[in-house]
Amino acid sequence: MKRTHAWTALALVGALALGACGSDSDSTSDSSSATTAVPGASTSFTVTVSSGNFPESQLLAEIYAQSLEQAGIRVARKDSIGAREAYYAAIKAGEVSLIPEYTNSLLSYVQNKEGVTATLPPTTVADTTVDTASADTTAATTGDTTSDTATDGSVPEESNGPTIEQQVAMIKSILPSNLTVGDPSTAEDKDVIVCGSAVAEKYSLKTLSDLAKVADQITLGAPPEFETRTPFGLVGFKDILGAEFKKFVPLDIGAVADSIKSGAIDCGNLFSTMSVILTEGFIPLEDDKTLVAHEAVLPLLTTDAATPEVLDALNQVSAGLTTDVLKSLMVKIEVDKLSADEVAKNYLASVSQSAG
Amino acid sequence: MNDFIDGLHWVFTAEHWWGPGGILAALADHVRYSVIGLLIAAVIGLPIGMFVGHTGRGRFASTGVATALRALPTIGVVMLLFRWRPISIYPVLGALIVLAIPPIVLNTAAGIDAVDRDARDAARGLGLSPMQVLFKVEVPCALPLILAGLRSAANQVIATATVAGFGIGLGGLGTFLFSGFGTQRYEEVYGATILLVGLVLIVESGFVFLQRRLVSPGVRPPRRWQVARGAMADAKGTL
Repeated sequence: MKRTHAWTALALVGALALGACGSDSDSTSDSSSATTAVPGASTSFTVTVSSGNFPESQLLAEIYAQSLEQAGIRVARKDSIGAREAYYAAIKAGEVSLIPEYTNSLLSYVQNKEGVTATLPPTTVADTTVDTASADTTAATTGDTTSDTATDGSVPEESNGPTIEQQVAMIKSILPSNLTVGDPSTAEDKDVIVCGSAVAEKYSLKTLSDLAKVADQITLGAPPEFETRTPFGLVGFKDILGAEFKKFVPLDIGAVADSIKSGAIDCGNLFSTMSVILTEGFIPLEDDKTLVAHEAVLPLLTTDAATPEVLDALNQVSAGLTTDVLKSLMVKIEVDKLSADEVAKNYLASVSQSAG
Repeated sequence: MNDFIDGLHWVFTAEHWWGPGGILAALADHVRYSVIGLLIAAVIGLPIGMFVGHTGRGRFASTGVATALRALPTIGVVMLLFRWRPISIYPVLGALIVLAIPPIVLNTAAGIDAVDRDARDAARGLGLSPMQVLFKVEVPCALPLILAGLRSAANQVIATATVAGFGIGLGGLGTFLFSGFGTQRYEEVYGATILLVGLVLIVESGFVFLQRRLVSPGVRPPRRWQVARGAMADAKGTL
């Protein structure tokens, strides 16, 4: 008797889950594929979209999926698979064909997983070198170097990591042959230092270099690991930017925003797409020395799925996606509690409206 | 043992003591939180304990409430109050007070309750008012137990004030535990633990001193030699 109960329960759960899936794909096919899927030649292929198990990845997956549907491509959705370990294995095995990714995380994961090292492609750093050179010469000619001496202790490099384009080239060079990536967006989800707006205004802070100049008056909060890390950590800030802070407060990442708000700390370490940055009006400082590797959002897909139509649709998404856009979409998810499906739909509608 | 020595080494490194993130600043915060928490708990707990012990009323309720308070997980209290007042000392103080009240109330009530009936009746017979009975007879007689309650509350408060440093950045010795674990500098964790133990021992000896000074010789527990002599006398007597 007990046994039958268990089985009925299981069956019920299964039916519910199936029902949920069914209704999901119904609603989406209503909106687009059923009507527009016919013309393309490659429509026989179904692109299976999935995501990592965190809200931002789920949102990005939904944006990809809906933009593909708008382009008349058949799309199937698979529930979030889990961490990178799980979903990378799934896409490599061809169980899914498209997943949102982040440049640096993907690059370092593939290097470890496939046991290969990508070499940094030759750089075209013309503008940055010219910049520092001209800064040097002007300083030398005017003899007014006082403002710069604070950061002079260690000669800052113009950049500590590869550019997004270099990362993408590196990723492409080491991906298994059945995988590829689309164009990167400029939306990045990575460590960032943000300051309260009053503090940022008082010291006119825009970049990390600005922060370094007034560091001895700034109380900084971050998870405890930050204290010993380099380049993005107190050690790196000291070595690369010559910054020594008035005080470092070790904090749980969840307490950083509240601490900035209460004035307990001036600036703190958050992630660049956290909605709280927008809702509290914090000022994210530009990482002008690339202390944090770029984590640009880009689609990882199987070569089977990478038809010109698919790539075209995905690249259009990437072209419109910036960190600010992603952050404001995350506000709708985290604060307004809208579903990823809804947010993606509204976003794509607004994009096509402004485009046409 | 090595860890202990690493910890000692951390404690005895001068540069760890100074500056806004140093041991001195953390100790000052830690002691401040502990003292404020204990004082507020005493202001609340002592009168309740005295009332219950003196009148015998509300004993069941106070014991029940105190036991329930004791069962509250401190971190839970902090988190609950944190929603109300994020990044302020109130959540931590609230948790410390909740933690410190039960031993104070229970010990005070039990101590006064255990005062010799005859002494109480005699005081009443001499024409002392209830308040005078309480403060001239009952409290002095119960002082050893009352102090023991404060002492155990103080120990718990000092140990628990570490939550101020755990992620919410309010300082105290817990900061070293938090950042030590986060950065895997375990000598910092051991060092802070040694400091905490030291702080507790200092407070313990402070209470021993208080007990010597405040408790009337008549109700003082007998010293060891007195016990020994009494036992000997007893032994002689029985022989």
